[in-house]
Amino acid sequence: MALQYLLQALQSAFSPINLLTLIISVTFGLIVGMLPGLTSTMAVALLTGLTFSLSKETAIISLMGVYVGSISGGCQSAILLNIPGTPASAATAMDGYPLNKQGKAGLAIFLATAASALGTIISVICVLSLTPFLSGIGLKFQSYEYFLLALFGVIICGNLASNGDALKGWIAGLVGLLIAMVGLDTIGAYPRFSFGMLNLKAGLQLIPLMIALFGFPEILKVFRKSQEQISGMTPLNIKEGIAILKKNIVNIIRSALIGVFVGIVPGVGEDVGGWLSYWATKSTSKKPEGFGKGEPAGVIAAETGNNSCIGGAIIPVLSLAVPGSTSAAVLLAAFYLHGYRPGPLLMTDSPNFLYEISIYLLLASIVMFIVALVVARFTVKILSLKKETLIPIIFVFCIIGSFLVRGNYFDIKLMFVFGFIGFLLMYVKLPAAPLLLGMVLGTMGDSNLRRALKLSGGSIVPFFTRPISLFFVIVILFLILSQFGIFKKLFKKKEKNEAVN
Amino acid sequence: MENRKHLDFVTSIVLSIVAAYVILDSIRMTIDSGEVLYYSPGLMPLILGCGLLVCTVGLFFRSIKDKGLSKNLEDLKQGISAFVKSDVVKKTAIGLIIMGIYVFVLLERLHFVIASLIFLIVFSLFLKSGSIIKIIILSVVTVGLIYVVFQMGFGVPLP
Repeated sequence: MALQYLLQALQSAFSPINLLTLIISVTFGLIVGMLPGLTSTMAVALLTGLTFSLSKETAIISLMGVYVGSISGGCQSAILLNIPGTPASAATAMDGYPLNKQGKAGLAIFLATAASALGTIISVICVLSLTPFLSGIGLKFQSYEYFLLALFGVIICGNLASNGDALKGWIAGLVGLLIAMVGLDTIGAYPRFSFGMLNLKAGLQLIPLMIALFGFPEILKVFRKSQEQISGMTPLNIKEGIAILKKNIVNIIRSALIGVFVGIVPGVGEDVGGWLSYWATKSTSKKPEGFGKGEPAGVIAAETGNNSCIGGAIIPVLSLAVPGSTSAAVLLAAFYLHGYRPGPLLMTDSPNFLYEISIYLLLASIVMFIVALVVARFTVKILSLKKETLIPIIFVFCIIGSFLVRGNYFDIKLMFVFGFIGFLLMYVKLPAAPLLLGMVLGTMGDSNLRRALKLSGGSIVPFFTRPISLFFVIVILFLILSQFGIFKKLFKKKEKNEAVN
Repeated sequence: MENRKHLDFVTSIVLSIVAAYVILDSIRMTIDSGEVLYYSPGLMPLILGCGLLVCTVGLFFRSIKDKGLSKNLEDLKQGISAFVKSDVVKKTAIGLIIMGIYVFVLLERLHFVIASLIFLIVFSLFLKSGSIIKIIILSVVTVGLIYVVFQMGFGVPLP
């Protein structure tokens, strides 16, 4: 059966229109990824609205293409400018830019591109094998577990995506959950925080909010002065690159697995995957002192790690309807928009979808590899594009993307207002990732908490007596307490006691 | 980074007010809906409001602990005056006004093509992205392409 689904997915992907869409979307993604300041989440969010009128398959293929392209494209500006095109490529700049300074920019770009493609391909294997497994666990979930899963997602994302300031991460997550409360509640259709406005009673649409949070602040950044010096391009040195890749097979597999598992963690993005893989490779290297000075293994680890996060982030989307990263959160909204219903029932309701996504990801990574190497010849020219020229056009696309979801002019105004709010939140250093995750998971958390309490007659005891639920409670408590240094204090006390004894 | 620490102080106060409002409104929702608390539409907002209040109070005390109240207020004053005088802020404000006029005025009164053309030309001129001829050509081509691809190609309604 699986083989039949795979063949069907391949047949769909190889139709001329879908193949052309894939090539165009990957190229668009690569260019967006290259341009510093334009993120993959923004690209996927923008395109989601624009794919509204396309067929389901074409829309999903284009989104996958943009996602893979934009995450991979970031490495080229990281290597040539020392400015990562997307946060995902931040770790790539550590060794990519020094390689460029040594006159090996072409080699670094080849290594980064190949590692990106390999990372995505390995993550596809994980998508195919882990999604049914997680879906199986998801089938055991009831309202208690779903509420705690939403809470867990927001808290862990707050912990990990807030640059060490979990309190701000949690605040952003809570604000996101509150935004999700606007509109008629899903159980009794009671209007909440709608101030008598009909448009607010209908609830806030996710796509305009995502465009607002990830597109608008980038537009406002254009007013800041930036000084970017672009280095020249050198030959790709494919032979030398392949030899280096062969020597780094263990590094590639390790980094890909790290990336996949980071991707699975709700809301934690590709940047963390890149950094963790880089750190793991440096820690296990025989020459750690070479890292940061132009070590090819560093570039390979960072790019494999961030790209394998793509597959990792899609696994919880498909199996539990919980996004693994901000880009995956936008993808989840896009799946809903196009009539797909990801979650534990996916494998019984529409098992073909898993295989379609896997094939699209696989093809996107192959197309990305080819297109990226072709585009690399023009990277210097693309990077010379003035942001001042692009930004007004991007804003017009933000308008169209917000409007197309339901053809409501209110959504454009919503995008503008929330864009400004998003900019203010960015200014006060409240992270966007937990905010977005809160917005996505808010409804799930609300309806399941109330259903759970209705089932138990208002008692919270089942939260502690059901095994999976208890597991989540313990993990959530651990995540919260770990931020107060309680475990450090306990360990110190233990060490002191041992020293006294 | 350090000179923006006073922003935590301001953020905590603003969000504490929001949290207090959410708590009060969720209590009203619970009473208004006539449901028991654990099944009422106000339950989740009440929990979230309380959570937000606890976190923002934590942030407030952290900012006080870091700098003290008077230093925070002093930094806030300095921050506001630097903010008002900043060229970047002025440029951003003008940019926001142009975008706001496009969203709230032009798109409501004019056809999308005309509104977008005016916006693209004015915004590009403001950003000094090139010569006026280049800006006009680029704007016309962009709007034309958008119209052809979306309206005529995909048949989707534009704003």
